[in-house]
This record gives sequence, structure tokens and C-alpha cells, in this order.
Amino acid sequence: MTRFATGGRIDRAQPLRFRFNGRALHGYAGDTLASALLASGIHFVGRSFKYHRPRGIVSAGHDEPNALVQIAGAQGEPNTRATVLELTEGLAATSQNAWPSLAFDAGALIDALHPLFPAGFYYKTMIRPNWHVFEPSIRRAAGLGVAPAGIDPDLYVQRYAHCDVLVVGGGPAGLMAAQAAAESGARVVLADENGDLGGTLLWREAVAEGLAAGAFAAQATAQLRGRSNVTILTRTQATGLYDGNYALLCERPAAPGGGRPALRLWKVRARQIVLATGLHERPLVFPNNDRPGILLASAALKYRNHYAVGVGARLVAFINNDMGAADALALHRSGVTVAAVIDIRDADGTATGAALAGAGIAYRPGSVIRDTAGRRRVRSVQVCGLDGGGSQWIACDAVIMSGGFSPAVHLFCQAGGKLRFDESAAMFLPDRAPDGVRTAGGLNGAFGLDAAFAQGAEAGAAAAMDCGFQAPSQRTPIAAGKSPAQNIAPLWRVDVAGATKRQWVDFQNDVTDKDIGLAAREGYTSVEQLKRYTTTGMGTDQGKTSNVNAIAILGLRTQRTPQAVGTTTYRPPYTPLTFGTFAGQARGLLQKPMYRLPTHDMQAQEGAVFLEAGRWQRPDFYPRPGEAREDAVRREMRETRGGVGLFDASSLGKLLVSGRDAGRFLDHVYINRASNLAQGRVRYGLMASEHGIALDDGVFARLGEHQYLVSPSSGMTGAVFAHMQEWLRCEWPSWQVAVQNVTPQWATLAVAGPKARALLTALGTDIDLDAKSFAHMSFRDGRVGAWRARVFRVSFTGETQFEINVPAAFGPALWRELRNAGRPWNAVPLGLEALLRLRIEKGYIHVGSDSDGTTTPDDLGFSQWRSKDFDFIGRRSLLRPEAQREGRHQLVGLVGTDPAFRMPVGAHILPRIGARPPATAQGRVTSSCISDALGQSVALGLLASGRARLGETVELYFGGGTFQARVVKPVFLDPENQRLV
Amino acid sequence: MSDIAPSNFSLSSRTGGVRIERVALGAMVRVTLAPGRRDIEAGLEAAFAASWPASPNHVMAADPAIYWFGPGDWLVQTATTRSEVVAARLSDLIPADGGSAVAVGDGHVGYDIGGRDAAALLASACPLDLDRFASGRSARTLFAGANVLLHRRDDEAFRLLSDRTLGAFLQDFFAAALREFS
Amino acid sequence: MFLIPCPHCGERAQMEFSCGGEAVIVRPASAASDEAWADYLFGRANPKGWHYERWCHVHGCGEWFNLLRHTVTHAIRGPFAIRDAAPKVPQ
Repeated sequence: MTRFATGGRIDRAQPLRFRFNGRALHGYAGDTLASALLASGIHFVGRSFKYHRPRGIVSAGHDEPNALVQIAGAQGEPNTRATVLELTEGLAATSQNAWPSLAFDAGALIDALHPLFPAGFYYKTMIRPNWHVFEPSIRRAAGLGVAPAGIDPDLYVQRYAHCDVLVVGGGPAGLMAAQAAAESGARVVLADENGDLGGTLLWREAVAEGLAAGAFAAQATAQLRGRSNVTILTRTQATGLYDGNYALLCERPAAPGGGRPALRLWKVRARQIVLATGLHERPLVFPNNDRPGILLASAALKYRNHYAVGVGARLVAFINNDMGAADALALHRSGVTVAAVIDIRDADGTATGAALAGAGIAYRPGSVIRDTAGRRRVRSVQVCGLDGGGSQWIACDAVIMSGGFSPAVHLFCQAGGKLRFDESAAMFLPDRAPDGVRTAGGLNGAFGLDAAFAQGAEAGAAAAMDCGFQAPSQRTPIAAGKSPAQNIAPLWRVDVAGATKRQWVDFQNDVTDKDIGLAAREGYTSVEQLKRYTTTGMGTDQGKTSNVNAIAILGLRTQRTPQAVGTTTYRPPYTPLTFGTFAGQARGLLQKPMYRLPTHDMQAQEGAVFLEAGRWQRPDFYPRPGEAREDAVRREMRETRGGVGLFDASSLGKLLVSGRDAGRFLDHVYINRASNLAQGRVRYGLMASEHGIALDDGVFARLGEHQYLVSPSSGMTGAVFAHMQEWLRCEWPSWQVAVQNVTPQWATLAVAGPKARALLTALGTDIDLDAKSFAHMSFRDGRVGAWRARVFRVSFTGETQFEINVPAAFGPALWRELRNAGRPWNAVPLGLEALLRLRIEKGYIHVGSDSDGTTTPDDLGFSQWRSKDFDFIGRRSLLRPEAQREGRHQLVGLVGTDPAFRMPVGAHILPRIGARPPATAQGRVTSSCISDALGQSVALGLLASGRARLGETVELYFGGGTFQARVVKPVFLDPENQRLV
Repeated sequence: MSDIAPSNFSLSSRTGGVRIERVALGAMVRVTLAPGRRDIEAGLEAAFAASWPASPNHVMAADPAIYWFGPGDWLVQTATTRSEVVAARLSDLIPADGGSAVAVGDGHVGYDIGGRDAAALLASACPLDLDRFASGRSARTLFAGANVLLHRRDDEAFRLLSDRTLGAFLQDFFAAALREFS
Repeated sequence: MFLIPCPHCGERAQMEFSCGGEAVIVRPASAASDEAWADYLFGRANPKGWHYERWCHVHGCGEWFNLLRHTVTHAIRGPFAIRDAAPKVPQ
């Protein structure tokens, strides 16, 4: 029986059933999975990552390296730490990394062969033929848990929060920091990972202000809860601190489901931060120190006092400091028998030995554990003196160890804090804090409540005052008794005669002190190299228990102090986060804001298959029953060329450029002229960046003397708007130009094809549609159907095309009228893919597809700018030698030798026929299609000196195959523009 | 009639803590001035007197409601007048060489978000410090990555304006965000 | 991650802004030499320390302005008007 009948913070009135590896067990509300397993006498919970060694529970918190379990079910989660997982009714967990079962694991054979697998073995042995041949089997053998296959049904949410003072950690220091800051009037957020505030107050015996520690914590919590300026986030782990005091906190709300989220990610913007993150106890490194049943002394005490669980019936303690001695004594007095305390320190007349002996515990100063025995649970330890003599086996069923403490500096360092190694305390301590960050309590290496209270209160008050609040008047609470002292004598590894067995440094990654020695011998003496070569400090725990030991051992091997070795970089997250945490509500279609066309629903009714094109959801094609995509696209092309096609072109940008200098401004924005355009007319324009690179193209119309409507391409509207604003605000601030993006206001429905005019006539309009009075590249205002509209004559299809603009709300009705009016000519909805292929036949470029970040307007065949005698954005760059040199890649047309083979976009143009890679590409295919109208395979491409090579046949390479094409001018259909009339 | 954002859109949490409704915005006119045209701005201030927002990030919430959108940039909204009329009145005050006033009512969607959990719902996807965002304030900011204008009407009442093209996205996001409060 | 002070809107989250790079890069006249033009296009100070740069409150009021930002600590001074020369670097 390992559960005590009384005590602890579990609720004995709420028994819970759960299964572990299929075995039915029970625990209580308030248990973690680990405490419930220990209460059932189970230490052995998993196999190690590399050698498949039996491993047990080491810690009682988020620092756990070993006890990782797989949670079953749709909400399943791999690599869950049993030490923080709350027990729930019906929980089903299994061990990881064991096959076929935990007890009989086939992979354990690797352990017998361990001399073959030293640190870095795969770097050395799996070079030929290459690593990827070995990777899958290695990953299987060394994998952690299994990612759930189904869609996660849980609710994940996120929340922004803002405060003056964020306090991380609700232990004695954090509570006082929050109280002091709150007292001053500051907005405070206090985050703690546990369900109740108090930290060690909840399980270490102490008296504060005359109250038992637990009662004191409850009182302090109640006081904080009573304040409107304090937000308490329990069950919340701070996982990241970023620039500008931006913190990510991960809350696991109680009882998720039924609308309650499984996880809530808090994004907290704090003006000041107080870190009271406490410390982690370190294991000792000694031979065979990884057997189940060997755990941290403070963890054993927490299991006893928090969960009323005895981790064994007969314990041996191995320590190098007085905190560990005190924990052993406390355990013994509370009914968890400690048979012996092995202390590496010499008997120095301190009270430690006397106190232990007085309690009836055998005390062995100046001793170490040289070996342990017990396969699935430790059953004895071999103790000897520092000289290797006086060896003796002591029977036990658990070993508690205390190798000193490591302040949880992770968040401090993430925020930019610097550390120093304190030799006397044998710990890395916060040294220089970044602006707006303070530390208190155990994080500062302070032991004892008085120090925690004082430092917390001081940090909280100072943080509030830095936010402009008055100093709080609060008195710091007083703890009873003397503050403890650590009195540590570091022991980084056991180095006595006969200590031959492996000494584990990093349990999770199966790294021994010898592996570190090997790395040092092979020259991996930087701590970052050590981490990557041996994997020490990697994995789900990121070496919370092991890093300082590894650093010190590397130091021993290279005659350096831990300070000189230094630490690896601390990066977020502090503890593992699931993908759902980051995704929050932004799943599926909510991942990013997507624009919808005004007629989106109608297009859906038309049977459109939608496509994400930039930020827009647009119809890609409209399959009829039995039609594949390619069939549908080619039919849409044919029917548009032969009759009339309809599409919603509302995604085309509409920027209203107004003001006295509007024309002058557009003369500078486009490489061609705008200011000499007549009112009512439309012109095609190309923009370049200041580097002389093609930026966007589109049409612009002159609405009035001082007003133009600029139409960037769909995906570029925001960028062009920003480009214009930057130039106006930063370069030409005195120019009188105002730019407005009015894109969402308008539904733009396009009618394209030889029957477009007939369709509009049938629909009814008071605009004279005759080609002479309403020519291509002009616009008219008038009535179309029942609506007042502005109609543009522009074309991206190469056909006669009208673009009818009505306020967005009228878009659906206009679409319906266009469909009805188009019946006699079988008007079809035209998808984006067909539209993009129609423009290829016509040689209309798509900037960004047919150009890249090196393509100039000249390269695309636009040289009108040369006649402009004044400045525009990019002009001077176009005069640079690089823009003028011979051999630039220029836009050409390509006609495939095989009319039925669609030339793949990205195919490289080889330097000559018969050449094979490796060879310098002469260019590439940028867009292509099979043209039914021409019975040809056509493409646009960029080719070195392309315009001088018309008529040449080139060979192209793609994906291992080659094909040939003839170089032609980049226009295939209707070069005389007769169809545009 | 099919629309991208049903005009009767309305959601509320089961507990009644938050309610989201699409609002009919009526006529809206966006006024944009060329930089340095203090003369035109002075004319607008004079014409609209006290109802012209004097400082950034404020809304004069009478009819017409006038939102400060940016430097030289305002949105005038009214439920009682047609947008052509409003645009015409404003155009009279804005010479063509100094800026523009155009109807944009069809380009926007608006949502009223109210209830004791309204601020929390907005905080699920908006980086603004809503504790420091008093009634009468407005701000152009981001909600779920979408450009929005947020207006606090009172303690538990917000109005959110955005592009019509984002209406469907916002409504889907509201529905997802609301799950936490039901 | 950090907060940016907008001249109109006050401190707002960085995600509402876009950075336009080093501020007060003078655009040479068209007659500039190729070297001078290349330096204008590509030459940037890229200091470790205080950097004068321009930002746009692109998801807010749209304003462009200048800031002094420390490229190591992300400490920020400003905002300053877009045409203002760089102020004295803080100690």
C-alpha cells in the first residue's frame, strides 16, 4: 500500500478509474497520472529513446524526462508527460517506445549491443549510400509517440491580453510579486502552471504569518481573487517570452469539452514582467542511475505531501547538499522510510548528519553510489567511499537523489537575459536582466520563504513603479524558522575505482558521461556542438534536468568551468506545445482572411470548383457531369472563343487616384504616360519598381481632369496601393494626390467573346455599343439592365469584352440577368484556368508568372518608356549597364513540336539541341497550354536574347525528359487584334 | 437574393454573454484628401461643426456618424440619407484637385458585437488593448488577420466594419470564436 | 513582437505595421552616376545598434513615419516625421 490514508491534496471522495497499458487501475481527483501510477506501486513506465532501457518516473513536474505516455483516442496525444497529466475518469494511456510490450521489448536488444552505438554513431556509420536509406528504420526504432491520425475534435482558442505587470509563477515569490503590484493599482496577470496557486507552499511544510503554508497560499490567493485589477491564470504554462515583453501562455482549462476549450493560448503584452519560475532539482550522475525507482528527492517529497503517495517502502537517498538531506528527513518523518543517506560530502560537523542519525537514518558521509541493481525497479545500491573502499550493497525499493538545483532560467534567457555560473551555489543564475524583466525567489537561487517573499514583493513593487504606479504600502509576510542553506559540494559524475557502468546524464536521449567525453575527444567542445552531436538536452524536456550536468561534465573533460563552457541557447517553447495551440480558431478556411467575389454563392450554384488565387477564392472551372478539369477548361475556352463567356472579375483592383497632381503622379508610377490620356479612355500600363523590375501591369482610366481609376491585377492591389502610398508620403509629400482603394465597392462582371455585344444588347442598355462610338480601351457610364453601371471595354481574353461595374450588392442579380440574356448563345461561366489560358494564346503577360525578380519592362518587350523624357520610378535603373546588357532573358513565344504535349512550366531551355544537364539554362517556360483554337501546344517563356532568336528551334529539359519547341513572337492568336473590335 | 454575407446574419452564445449581428450600414462615403489640404479640412470641419472628429481614432456617432480613418481620411455614414446625396454634399466641399468623396457603402460590412463577453470575443483575435479603448473611440486594426475598423459604442457594445469581400470570412470566424462562449 | 508608436494611434502591435527599411535615403537625380545610383538602391548602413528607419501603420491609419530602433534590444525612440533627419542617437 503506497497511498497514505490521510493528507495530500487529492479528493478521496472522487475515485477515478483509468487504464495504463491495458491494466485497470484507480486513483483520485487531484492525482496526476504519475502520482496515480506510483500509488499503484508502478515506477516502470517507459523505455528509453535509443537503448530501450526500462525507465521510471524521475520528477513530479514539467521537467520530466522519462515518463512520456501516449494518450489514446481521437483527442490522443503523444509524448504527454505523466507527471503533469491530470488524471481523469476513463483515461487510457500507454507507454511509448516499447514493442510488443513494455515488459518484453524487442528493441531492448539494442541495449546489449550498446558499444556499437556511441554518440554520433549514425553520423559515422550511415554515410554510404546515404543517410536517407537508414533514416526510416532509425526513426521507427528511436521514435517517440505516434501523432493522432484523425482530425482533432478539440476546441483551441487564443486570447490577447494586456497588463502592466505579468507575474510568471504563483509560488511564494510570485504570489508576493502579484500582491505588491496589485496593491499599487497596476493591472496584473499572474500565471501558474498548477490548478492552485502556491507552488512549493502546497507541499513543503512551512509556517507563514502563523498559518500552515497551504493555508497561507489559500489566503493569499483569495486576496488576489478579490481584486478587480488582477487576472489569475492557473493551469497556465508560460512557454515563451519575446521582444517587447510579449509572452505566450498556454492554459489548459479544467474539464474541456462541451464548448470549453482544450487549450487557450494567451498572447500577453506586459509592460513589466516578474519571473518567479523557481528551480529544478538535478539528478546525480552515477553508474546505473537510470533504473525505475530512482527519482529526485524533491519529487518524492511532493508525491508524499501533495498526493499522499509513498514512492517506496525503503528508500536510499544520494545527495550532495543539505536541501536533499532535509527532504530525506522530511520524507522519513512523514512515514516514507529512508534507510540510508549517502552523502558525497565529508562529515564536517554540520547538523546534517546529527539530524539524520537522530531520526534513525543511517548516514554515510564521504560516500557515493557505485552501482545499482534491479531490472524493472531498483532493488539495491552499492555504496563505497570516495576512495572506492568500504563497498556495501544496501537493499531498497527506491532511490531519491539530489544533485543540487538549476534555476528555471529559460524564460529569462528567451527574453535576452544573461547568466553567470555561481561556483558556490553550483548553478547558473540570472545576471543581467533585459529591460522590463525582473526575477525573484528560487529563480535567483534563493532558498527559503523569507527570501522568496521579500524578493517577490520587491520585484512586484518595482515593476509597478516602473509603470508609473505608487509604491505599495504592503508589509512583507514573515515565515517561521530559519532559512535553509544549500551547502552543496558538486559531484558531476562518480569517478571512483570500480565505477564502470554507464552513468546517465540525459535520460530522455540516452546520453552518458562517456558520450560527452567522446564528443570532447572528437573536438565537439562547444556546448552547441555537444548538444547536436550527442543529442543531450534535446527532446521534449530540452534537458531541464540534465543540461547543467552535461555542461559541467564537458567542462571537466576540457578543463573549463561551467561558466566558460556556457549554456546552449534557450528558445521557446519552454514546454512542448501542440499544433492546435498555435492554430487556435484559424483552422481550415479560417487560416487566413480570404476575399470572396460578390457573386461567390452564385458561382457555387453554377458548380464552380474554387481555387485560392492570392487572397481570393475564385472559380477555377465549372465541370459538367462526367467532365474532368482539363475537359471543362478546354470547353470553356472553346465556347468563349466561339460564343460568349461570363466571369466575375471583381477581384481586379480599383484604386481611385485623385488630386491636382494625379496625372503627374501616374506618369511617375507607370513606365508609360498617363497624363495625356483623354477622359473616357483607358490605357494599358506597366509599373516598374525603383530597381527597374516589372512590378505589375493593368489598365487605368481617366475619369476626370484630376481623377483616374487604376486597376492593378487581382493579387497585387494591396501591394500597388502600398507602393503608391509610400512614394506619395515619403518621396513626394507635397504632391496633391489622394489614393483610395475602392475595390470591394464594385461587382465587375465581364462578358467576353464574339457574341458579347449581342448579349449586352439583349440584356438592354442605353450605351451605344457600336465599336466606332464605344471603342476598345474606353469606358462609358449608362444603364445596363436595371442598373446604373460603368462599362469598360478592355480584354484579357483577346475577345471583344465588356466589363460591367455595378455596386457590389447588385452583382448577383446582374449575374443572373447576364445568364438569362446569354441563353441564345449558350453563354458559359468561364473559370480562372480557362481565362489564364486564353490570355496565353494572346500573349498577354501575367507579371510574376512570366516575369521574376530580375525581369525588366524591356525584357517583356515594353520599351515605350524610352520616349519618355522625364523621370519615373525605375527609369534610372533601366539605364544601368545590367539592364542594357546583351543576353538578357526576354519574353518569347514557344510552339511545341508535339502539338499534344503541354510544355511544363519551369522546363529549362538547354543551351543547344542535344545538350544535357548539367548545363547553364538559357531560360525557361513561364506559362503554357494546349490551344484548341490553334491546334498547337503553346507557351510563353524567357529566353536569353530571345527576340533575336525567332524561328530557332530549341530543346527543353524537364524532370529527366526533353522536348523541342520553336521560338516565335509572344502572340499566337489574332496578332492583328481583329477579335477585339 | 444571394449575397456574400447574409444581411440577417445573427449569432449569440447560449449563455447570452455575446451577440453578433450584421447591421445595415446605409449610405457611406469615404473622404480622402491630398496631403496638405488643411483648407479643405477646415471647410469640412466648419460644415459639419461639432460632428466632425477633431482627433484621430474617434467617431462622432450621431447621424451622420463620422469615423476618423487616417490622416486626411474619413468615413461618413448615415442611415437617413442616400449615399449619392451625401457624396454630392461632400463633393461640393472638396474641389476635384484636392481629394475625393465617393460612395463606398456597398463595399463594407458591419457587425454589432455586444454583451458582457463581447470584449473577450474580440480579444480572441484582435491585438488592441480593449481595456484602454474607451467608448467613442475607434481604431483601424486587425481581427483574425483581416483589416477592420473597430468602434466602441459603450462598455459592452462594439461595431466592427470591414470590407464586404471579407464578410463571409468574418462570419465564419465569429461562429468559430463564439464556441468558446457558449 | 514589439510595440510601435504610431504618430496618430499611439503604441500598437508590430503586426499592424510594415517596415520600409532605412529612413532618409536621398533619391539622386536621374543624372547620377551608375555608382551613385547603385549606392542609393543597395547601400544600407545595417548597423548593430541604433537604426533610423521608416515604418507604415499599414493595418491601421496608413501613416508613414520614422523611428529610431535599436537592432539588438529593439528599444524604440520616436516617432519622427518622415522628412526629419535622424535625431541624435540615445546613449
